[in-house]
Amino acid sequence: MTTQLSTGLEKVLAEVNQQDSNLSNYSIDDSTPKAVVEPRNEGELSAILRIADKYVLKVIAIGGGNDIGLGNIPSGLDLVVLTRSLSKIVHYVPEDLTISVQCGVTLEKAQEELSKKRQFIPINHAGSNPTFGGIIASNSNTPPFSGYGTIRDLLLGVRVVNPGGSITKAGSNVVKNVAGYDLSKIYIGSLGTLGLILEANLKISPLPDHESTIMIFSNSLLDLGKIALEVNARLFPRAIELVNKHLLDSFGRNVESSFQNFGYCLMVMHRGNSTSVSRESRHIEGMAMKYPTVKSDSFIDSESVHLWSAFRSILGGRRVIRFRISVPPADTSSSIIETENEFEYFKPKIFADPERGVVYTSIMVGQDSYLLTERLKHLRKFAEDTSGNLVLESAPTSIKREMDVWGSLPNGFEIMRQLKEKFDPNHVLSPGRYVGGI
Amino acid sequence: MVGYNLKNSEPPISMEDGDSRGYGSLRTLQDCVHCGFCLPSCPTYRVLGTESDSPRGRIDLMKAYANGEIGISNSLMEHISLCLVCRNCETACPSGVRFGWAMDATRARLEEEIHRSVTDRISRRIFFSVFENLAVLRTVMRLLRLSNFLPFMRLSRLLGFSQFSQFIPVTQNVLKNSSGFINPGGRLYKADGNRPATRKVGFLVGCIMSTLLADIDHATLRVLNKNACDVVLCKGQTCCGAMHLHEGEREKAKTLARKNIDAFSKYPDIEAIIVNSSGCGAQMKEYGVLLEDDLKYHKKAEEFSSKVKDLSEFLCGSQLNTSFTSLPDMKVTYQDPCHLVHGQGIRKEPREILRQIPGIHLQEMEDSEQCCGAAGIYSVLNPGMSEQILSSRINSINKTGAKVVVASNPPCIIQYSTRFQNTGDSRRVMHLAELLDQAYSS
Amino acid sequence: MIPITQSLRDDFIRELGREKVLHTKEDLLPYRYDAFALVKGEAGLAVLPSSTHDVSTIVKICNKNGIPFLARGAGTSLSGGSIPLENCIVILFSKMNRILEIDYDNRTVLAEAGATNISISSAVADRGMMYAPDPSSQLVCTIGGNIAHNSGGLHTLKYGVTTNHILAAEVVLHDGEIVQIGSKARERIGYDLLGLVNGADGTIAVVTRALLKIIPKPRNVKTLLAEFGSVEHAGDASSEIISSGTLPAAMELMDNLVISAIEDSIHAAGYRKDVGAILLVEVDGPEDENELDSRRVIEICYRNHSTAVKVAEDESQRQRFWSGRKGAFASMGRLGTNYIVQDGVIPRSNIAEALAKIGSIGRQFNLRIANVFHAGDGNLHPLIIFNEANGETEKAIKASVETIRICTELGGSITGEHGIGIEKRDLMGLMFNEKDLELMRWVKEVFDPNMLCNPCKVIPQGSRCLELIPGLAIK
Repeated sequence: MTTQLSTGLEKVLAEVNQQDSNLSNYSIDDSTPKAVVEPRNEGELSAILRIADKYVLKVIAIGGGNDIGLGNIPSGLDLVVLTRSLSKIVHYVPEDLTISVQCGVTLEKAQEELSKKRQFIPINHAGSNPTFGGIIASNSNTPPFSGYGTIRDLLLGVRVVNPGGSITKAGSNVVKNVAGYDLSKIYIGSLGTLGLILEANLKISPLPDHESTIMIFSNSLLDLGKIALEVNARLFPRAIELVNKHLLDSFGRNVESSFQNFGYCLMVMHRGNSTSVSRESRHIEGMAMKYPTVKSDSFIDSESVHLWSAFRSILGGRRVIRFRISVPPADTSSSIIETENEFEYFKPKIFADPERGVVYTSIMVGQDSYLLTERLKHLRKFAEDTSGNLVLESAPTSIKREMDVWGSLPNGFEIMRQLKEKFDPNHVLSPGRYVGGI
Repeated sequence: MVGYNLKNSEPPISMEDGDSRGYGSLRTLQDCVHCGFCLPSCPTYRVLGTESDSPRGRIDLMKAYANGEIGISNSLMEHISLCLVCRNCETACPSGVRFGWAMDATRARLEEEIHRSVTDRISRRIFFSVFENLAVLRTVMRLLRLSNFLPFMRLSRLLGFSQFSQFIPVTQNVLKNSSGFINPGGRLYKADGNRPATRKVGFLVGCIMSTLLADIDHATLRVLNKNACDVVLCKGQTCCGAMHLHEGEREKAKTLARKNIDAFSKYPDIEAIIVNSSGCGAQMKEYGVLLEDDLKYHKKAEEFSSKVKDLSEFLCGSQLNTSFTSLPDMKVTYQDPCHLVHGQGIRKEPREILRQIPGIHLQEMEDSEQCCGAAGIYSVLNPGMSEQILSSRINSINKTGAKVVVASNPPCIIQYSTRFQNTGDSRRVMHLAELLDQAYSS
Repeated sequence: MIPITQSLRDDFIRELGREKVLHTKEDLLPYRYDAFALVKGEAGLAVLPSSTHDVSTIVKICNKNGIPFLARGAGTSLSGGSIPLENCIVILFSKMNRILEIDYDNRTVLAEAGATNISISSAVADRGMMYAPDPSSQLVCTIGGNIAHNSGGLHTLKYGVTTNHILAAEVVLHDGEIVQIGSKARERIGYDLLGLVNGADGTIAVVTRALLKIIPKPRNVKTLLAEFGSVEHAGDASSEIISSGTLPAAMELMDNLVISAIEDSIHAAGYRKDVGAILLVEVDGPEDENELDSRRVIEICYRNHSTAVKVAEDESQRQRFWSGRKGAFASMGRLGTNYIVQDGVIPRSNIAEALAKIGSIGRQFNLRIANVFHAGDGNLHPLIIFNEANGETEKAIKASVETIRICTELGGSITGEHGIGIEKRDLMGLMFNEKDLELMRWVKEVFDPNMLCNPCKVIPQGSRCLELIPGLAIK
């Protein structure tokens, strides 16, 4: 085995130069790779996977590295492949409202290019230099987002390097397409376990002229939940988020608002022309006025932009445990309360998207990891009993040893396992990191 | 081998222009593009969920039969006879397939080829002949009214006339309440004195309408008189022949059509032929199609058809006399008779009239354009299916809270009144003419 | 192909009851068709399940005996997706059409696969909600069929297609196992199996129930009708509208041939027959946004040489504007005895170029080609008009393939919404190479290892399934 591995690695390194000799910089959950390479073009990436498959080298690809915390402890790691040099914008005709990018293109670079034509891609990320490959493979998106759809709604097609090195395409580059199986979907959030995304075709949107965000404060999560329900049943906000006190506290330094002593806040963003933005804002304020305990504040244009970027900056940072609960939207508030009850001691920063019923929590890593694991398991049970799930997005290896990152096996797992078997029979891609040890 | 064919390798439907058996009407089947838009419109598909009992499926069966791809079988007969010919599918069809014409023609051809038992043949012949002469019909009806129906039943059962004998109890039930029959002997009903007579119209008294439901005919005459019409009961008129046509007795239907054309053409000064039964109206508006291969009558038939007007259509088209006295407050719902809405495309007019009658509150029911299951004599020939279809109508009506169902077609009226009577339901079914009549006279 | 024996039929009858098994020639005949007119199939047997359990039972019998099967809703597929090949068992969903639960708090509707598309929107209309995908056949077509073809509709442009509006599905796998994929929680764990089931033309599993998302109905709608001297101008206008930052809810383009056909048919909507093209645009945002958007649309139309732009003044005028468009396909009978509806997609900046090329195909084949399409998505529907009695069928099929080739050459797709089914199985090569297709085959093999589920559709399969439409396959 050992000789075979090194032969394989040698062959890889003959094709692509070793990137960094300090391999421990690329450790994933305490596993250190035996080599790190950075292919400069698709030919090199294809060659790497061809050799890796032949010599059964375990490969993990890294883009911006922001979401590398997602996933179980790898069952093996020989080679880290950095995709950041595959950074070409392949195709962009503004009139088509679609863009095709290589996996290593960063979100910032794409947004910058698009903004020249007053367009943008409705994806946000809290990390630094997130790449499209990473964003799609980890299905990672941060607020404000809900009104434009998820990555799943935006991705039109992909080109993929398969284990073995072949390059295939799925989907298309046009907004409507039902030709054959919709394979691009299965790469989303699959942590690169089926193939490495080489290129992605995405829907983009025109940049709206104006935006505004209303912050509605209250000590009653119940009232805010009701307002959120009403907003979602009647309006199409571009983003709607519920945040808790601890998150609001972090906001304090960034945002001026006179109502910061409340326990919760509902943030609703609209985009459009100036009249429609202010009208929708008034509409929502009107809904909020019905609740006497509620106060609101609005942020227009640059204030709103600043508000959300401040929001994202709170979410960054490495030394935290992050997890997300997905439940039926009507259970959003109860999930927040449940999370607060379990983790009160840790001052959890919570924000939730009541439109989609997803609750994101981050807490500082402490010494009490055993306590944490038990509480996480408890909360997971709550989520799963509500027909949802809890996923650890980032956690110390010690916790991952004690609990699965993904939770109970989903229905249809046997099919997923067999898909992996077909696509990656030698288990070279991100082995062991995905659902059920895939 | 996979069983597929290019469509263009199909033999063309065998029907020549001018074919005396009406196969010209089958040509419309070629317009079907299988889009399936007709499926949810079909009452039997709604109940059974099988495509052989849907318009698209029946079209395929009719085509296959016409092509000789399939022959007569019990299964084929079942699917064909289970069709109500409500023509709802024609309303739904984006390609303009005239399903009703094709079904009538197919049934005619099946009737020629099918083997029926002697008693069956005799019973059919007796049944249909009764309607071919209104005088005979009136006599039979009188007999039925006079006598206890049991001996009739026994006699007919003894003779093996199982199917048609079932009409007897139904008929008797309705007859009990019916007033004097109408005899279209050419009599003129003068317009009401209060308004100057401006128009002269003919009136089809109808077979069932003039006997079983003569009250409605009387009401219709009064309503027309109130609307400044001199109404003449043109002499020599007879049954419209719709029932004959739908049951495959195409030649008899044609004979009746010719008789009616002759009868009404003796009165050239009438500007319209008023019909108060939608089944008859639809039939008479399509005499031109029925007689398309009759060189002598074709043109006359089209002229005749162009004069035929449903009562509601006629009243709405002229200035409706709205000097009503208010009726007691009444919530009514409107059942679109199939051959009015799908056969003649009339849906607005009856509603417009209803809305003008003070005291009447029209509460629309769900799926008011769905058949009630009466469909001529269908309710007697296919009682099980008819019941199921009716039940879903009753459910719709229940939701409206209406006390009166307005349905201006004899089979619908008999269907609903029988159900209401049998279940001790206090709700009533009324013809539009009856409501108008009450509003004028009360 | 395994024949349906008496004993097999008895198996079904024993397990399901006699009334749920259709077997006479006349019972089965109508299932040879769906809305795709060029090919006829043949059903071995048809069964009428009334529950998921029934479906599972049926599939188990099929699996045990190696008999292929096919789920059929209303049979409105335009690509032959619901035509039974290989003499397969047709599983009918006409009795599984109930809406099982409406949950306004979570904005979901749980329905059986046989429920019609419209029944979902109707069920929630009084609460101001709707189910967004609205294919033209929405009065008829079923949710199961919508999932199979990942159906869109006129308002896809803004609201997306079926896959964007489905949260969960109960499916029966090849061996009869019942699996529920997804739930009311929006984020699922593991590979996106639901994403695969959507748009698979019913070839990998039988969907029995679906959990669908409902959204608020737009409060304000504004509809505009712009007339143009030429179809190229209209195409340019639509491209510019999209790139201007306006996102209409719907944008439809019709050329002169289509307009004339509509106006000569029962679907006449009062369009002017002497115009080169009509662009119908609908915006449905908040009121002031609509105002601004429609002003912008009008400006762009005039800039692109529109001769007149009309704004619908009330709902009845709006309905009239749309009635012609909705009757467009059905009016084609006015132009010729037969027609083929194509369904290709191009990048939206290329509309005028594509139209010009389609025009030249018409001239090359000496066939009239009418154009009506979803301009907002670049989803073209060239209608190739021909007369089969004149032996033009094969020529028409060839011309229709050429129009699709143009779409792929421009970087688009061979089907935007009608699906691959039978029609385009052998055209997949225009878009995908062998290796691309191999990945799809892997998916098929995982879900349906015995190749029994809706056989001979979607993926070119070599010798097992014969060439279905002579002249269609690309050589």
